[in-house]
Amino acid sequence: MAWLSALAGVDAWTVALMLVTAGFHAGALLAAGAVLFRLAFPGLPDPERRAVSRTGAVAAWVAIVLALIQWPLQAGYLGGGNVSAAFDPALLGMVFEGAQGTRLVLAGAGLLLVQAILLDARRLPGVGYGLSLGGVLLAMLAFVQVGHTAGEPRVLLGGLLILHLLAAAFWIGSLWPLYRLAGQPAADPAAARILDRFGRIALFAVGLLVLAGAVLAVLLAGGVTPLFTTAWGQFLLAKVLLVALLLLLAALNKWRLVPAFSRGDTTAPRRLRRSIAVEGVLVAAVLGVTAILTGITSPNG
Amino acid sequence: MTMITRNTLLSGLAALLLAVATPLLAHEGEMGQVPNDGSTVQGTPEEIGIHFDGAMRITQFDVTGPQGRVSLENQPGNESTEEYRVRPAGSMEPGSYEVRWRGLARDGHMMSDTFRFTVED
Repeated sequence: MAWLSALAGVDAWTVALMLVTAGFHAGALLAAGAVLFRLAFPGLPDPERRAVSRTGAVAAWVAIVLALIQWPLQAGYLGGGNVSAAFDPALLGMVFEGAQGTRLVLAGAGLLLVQAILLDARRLPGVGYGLSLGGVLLAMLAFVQVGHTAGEPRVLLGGLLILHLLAAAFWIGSLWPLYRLAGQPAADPAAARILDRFGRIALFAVGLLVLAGAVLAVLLAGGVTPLFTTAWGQFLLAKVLLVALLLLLAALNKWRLVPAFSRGDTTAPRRLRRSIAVEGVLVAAVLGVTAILTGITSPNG
Repeated sequence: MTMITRNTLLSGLAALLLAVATPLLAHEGEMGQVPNDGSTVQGTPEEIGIHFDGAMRITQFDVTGPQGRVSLENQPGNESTEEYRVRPAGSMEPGSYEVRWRGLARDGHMMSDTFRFTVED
């Protein structure tokens, strides 16, 4: 099995690098998702709005710190996976001068701008939204600096990845506020309205996520066969499987649990919360597989 | 979204896929090794190295064998290169050798691989 031999040569340093990368992806997507969630639901009740903003801001700081930790980890990896290479000025400089450096600067600037989500929307109308949305776009641009999507045709590949990431961010950023809302007593009208509206937006967002992801995968792999024969393809299939499970849960929420919540079924809040929590675990697994996929394997085989 | 716009979008995407349905090789792939991976050479090889189909900055290149790490001459720096070649500083004992390398591709991907060869008397 190609995926097994890809994992066989992995040392502790590489594992650390992949974990930090997955954490960075989670933080950046959570931060971007918080901004998108607030844009999609301008009428959120005050406590929910504050909770989303706080989560987004904290996630952005975590992502900034992890991006900074990635830098010496990458230098250390290049030097053979050791601490002295991690602080070797030549290797640190080489990483920073290249595509990884551009990515770090764009991600850092974008995630700092995301902090504008904390600005009071009533006193400074539009400023918080504008700045934080600008931050999201910078953070998305950071993602397309490195890897195969930085190749030609760059606009197409980068554009598809950004669409894929925006949809993923919206989904990930929605989990926590939806979990909170699902904790309201069943039939709470404000919560029911938001949960229902989320279901309708999510249908479009998930379609975009899957479509952009599938087109990207076929473009990068150059066909369907490599999906089965290369380690990259096999990890991608694992990711697809996890996403399929996520979609099942999302469908269960939309068509069974949210209507039950709106009807006032007293068991619905608990079941909905449990389902959203499982979605969170699956998202973490998807991000872990993505870190392996983009970190130690390549569509070239 | 109406069915018509959805169908137009889908056919547009399908056309796009057909137009670019060739493998995209954004970053440099490893093209070959000297000595070839898995090969057997008579006596100390003159050169040990790798070549790529694009520029790569090699950051680690270690050869280990029965006597441990092999000391190498002419080890180039970290500059971009398609051909990375080094010479063993002394003669190499018969036995199996392993080369581990790491490098940074132009698109920021960090690459790493290993190849092996055997030295015979």
